[in-house]
Amino acid sequence: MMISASVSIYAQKEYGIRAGIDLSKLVRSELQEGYTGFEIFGDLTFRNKTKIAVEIGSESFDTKESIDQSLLYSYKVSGEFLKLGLDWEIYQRKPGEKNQITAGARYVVSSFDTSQGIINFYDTAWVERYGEFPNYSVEGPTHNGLSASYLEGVLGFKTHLTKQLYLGGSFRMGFLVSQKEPENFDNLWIPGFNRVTDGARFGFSYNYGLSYYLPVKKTR
Amino acid sequence: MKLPTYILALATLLICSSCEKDDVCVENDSVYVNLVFYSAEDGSTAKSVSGFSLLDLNGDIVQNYDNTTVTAIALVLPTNQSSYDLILQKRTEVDGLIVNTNDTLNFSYTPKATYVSRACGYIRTYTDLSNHSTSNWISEVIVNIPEINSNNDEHVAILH
Repeated sequence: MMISASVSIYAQKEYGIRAGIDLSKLVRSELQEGYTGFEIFGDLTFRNKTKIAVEIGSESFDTKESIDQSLLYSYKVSGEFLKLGLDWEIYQRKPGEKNQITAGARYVVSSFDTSQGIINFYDTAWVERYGEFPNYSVEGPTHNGLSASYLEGVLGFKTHLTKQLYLGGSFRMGFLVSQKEPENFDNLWIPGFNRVTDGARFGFSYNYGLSYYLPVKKTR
Repeated sequence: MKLPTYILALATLLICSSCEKDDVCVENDSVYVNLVFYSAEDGSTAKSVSGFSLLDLNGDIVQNYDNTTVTAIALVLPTNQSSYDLILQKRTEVDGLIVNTNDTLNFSYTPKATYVSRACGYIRTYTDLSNHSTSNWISEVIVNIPEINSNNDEHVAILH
């Protein structure tokens, strides 16, 4: 009883700082047309298995909406996000094991610009007759200074690779709290949040990257 | 953490994000200006027209109704301008000769692109529609509804 208690206390006495880069956004930038993204993240283990976590990133997404190959409209969103919150280790590690599973929460602010491209009218009679939607504008308006704030639930995993290197990712569900919307358009995609669904406040995103962890161990 | 767990969780996310229900546009559509033909003697009795053409100001045919009887026309007013001229050319047979009679309808309006939703995008509507016309075979053009935002309305009555 005494021994197991002291082991437990020793294992909890861990401090450290982590810094990492999201590889999934770099890979997605290469693979997906219209997307570029970059994110760095870090955390600070400050008490027991609680960490202050932060992610800073920049994303740009140039996309369009179509119905059966007929273009409706196109737009490009570019901006930055800052995620700040806490992570807790929810997996009881075996002695000496360094893999970890965490659950966390973030408050996120994102600021971005949206520039609209082609705007076609949704016109069912026209598209039936001519096979495409009638054009309204070749280059739509640009909306600067848009913003959104949202809460995020995070489930994270980290696998110890070698020495101080870890490979890991997280799945995130965002809940929109507030947003500044463009006039006569919507925020259909938000940096850090990903796709915004009509009539819903939820969004899903992920990251996956490499991090360096520097432990600062204290023994009592 | 094992790799298959990552892949499983990632696949779940991808499936979730590809089956959202805002992919279909149902309740909205772009609006056409409905021109409906009425009798000049009695403004409330529908009177169809046959043997006529719609021409633009250059005399080019927009639409030909030579062999059809028409009770109404659904018209798209160009959204890159705020005024549009349409010639209604009616053909009548007088002593075996075809005679063309022209009337020019001048529409003034404000075109609008209204954002509806992700799936629908933008629809075309018009506000402040007004009309001036010549009166050769047409006796009067009445704008019933100057705010054009539904395809179910009779926006303009043409009395002849």
